[in-house]
Amino acid sequence: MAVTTGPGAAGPVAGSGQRWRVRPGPPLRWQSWDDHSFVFDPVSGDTHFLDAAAAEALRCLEGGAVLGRSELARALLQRLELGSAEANVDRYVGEFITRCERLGIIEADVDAA
Amino acid sequence: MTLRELPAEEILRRLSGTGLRLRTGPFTYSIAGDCPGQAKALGTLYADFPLAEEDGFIDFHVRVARRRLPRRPLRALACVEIDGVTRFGPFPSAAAMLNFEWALNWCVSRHAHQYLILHAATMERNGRALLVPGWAGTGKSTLAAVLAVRGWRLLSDEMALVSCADGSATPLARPVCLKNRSIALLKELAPAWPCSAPAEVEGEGQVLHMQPPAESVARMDERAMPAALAFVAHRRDAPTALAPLSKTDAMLQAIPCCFNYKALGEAGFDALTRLVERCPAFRLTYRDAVEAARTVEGLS
Repeated sequence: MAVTTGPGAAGPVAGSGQRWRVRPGPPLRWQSWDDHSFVFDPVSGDTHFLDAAAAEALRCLEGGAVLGRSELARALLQRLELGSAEANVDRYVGEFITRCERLGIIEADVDAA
Repeated sequence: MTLRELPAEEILRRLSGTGLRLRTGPFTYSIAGDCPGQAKALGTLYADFPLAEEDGFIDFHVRVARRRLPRRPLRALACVEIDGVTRFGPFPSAAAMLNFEWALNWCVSRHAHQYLILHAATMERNGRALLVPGWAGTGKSTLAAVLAVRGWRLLSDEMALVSCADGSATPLARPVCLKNRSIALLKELAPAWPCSAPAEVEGEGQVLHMQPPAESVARMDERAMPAALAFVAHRRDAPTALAPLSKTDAMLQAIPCCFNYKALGEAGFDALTRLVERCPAFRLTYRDAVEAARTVEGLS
C-alpha cells in the first residue's frame, strides 16, 4: 500500500510545455470523507490519501481531460473558488504533477507533445 | 460430536496417527503431533469444538513435531508443519501451543482471501459486532477476554474475517491468548475458567490460552454484522477514554491492521471503505480492562 498525503513534498517541477492525463486503464476508485479522499488505483493496487486540493486537481484530469500545467492551475483555482492572486497554486500544481507521475496515477500525453 | 466427548487416549491416538480433525468456524484442520502436553491442551481449549467427518475435506494439515538439534540434543524443541512444510520453529517445546495457535492464524491469513482479514478482536452482543483492531501488545485480547467473561460472544481475539461480499464478520471462536498481567486479571475475574497450562516463553513472559465460551463455539456458524470499530491502546499511565474518530482517521488506522488489504486489490478497498462507512469508529485508551469493557458496553 502506498499512502500519499497530498502533493506536499517538493520535488522537481514538471515542465510547463507538457500536457497531462490520468493514466489509461481501469478507472480510479474514490472514497471521500470530509476534506480528504482515498483513491484506489486498480493498476498499481496502491491506495493514495489526498487532501482536498490534490483531490480536486486529480479530478480535473479524470474523464479524458488532458491539461497542461497552467491549464490545470487555472482549473484548480476555479474549482477551489480561489482568486487569481493565489500564485502558490502554480507551484502546488507542479509538485502535484511530479508526485502523481512518480506514482503512476497520471502520465504525460505523448500524442499532444 | 465434540472433542469433549472423545476419550483422552483416542485424542492421543489420532494425534499420533492420521490426525485429529477439528472444525473452527469455516475451516477444518487435521491436527497431528507428538509434543508433550499437546493432547491435554487441545482437550481443554477445543473441548466444545465439533470433530470433522473422517472422510470430509481438510483445509489445513497442521503437525506439531518434536525436534532435536544435533548441537543441542538435550533441549526440547518443536516445530509446526503446515501441509507438510515446516513453517514455524524450531522453538522450545514449552511454546508449542503458542506457535500452534499462530500457525492456525497463519493458515487463515495466507489463504482465506474471500475475507478482508484485519488483525482485530471481534466480539458480539445483541447482534452487533465490535471490531477491536490493533497489532500485538495493544490490549485487544485482554479486552476480548474480559468481554467474553461478561457474556459477549467471541468471534475471534486475533482476526476479524470480514466478508468481501456482504460485510459480515465470520466467527472462528478460537482460544484467546493471554500474557502476564492479563492472566492474573482473568484469574481474578473468573478463577475457574478453563485455560491451558501457563508456559514461560522467551520474549513473551508467561503465556496461556483461555478456552472460548461454549456458547461462542456453539454459535460459530452464525455471522454478525460489524457495528463499531474501537482502535485500542493499553496505556498504564492514561485513564480510560473513548474518543470518536473521523472516517478518514479510521481508514488510515485500519489499512495497516489488515493482513490482506493489498492482496485483495479493489475488493479490499471496497470491503474496507464499506466497513468504515458503516461503523462509527473510536480510539479506546485504557489501563483497566474491566473499565474499558464497561465503557465499550455503553456503545451498544
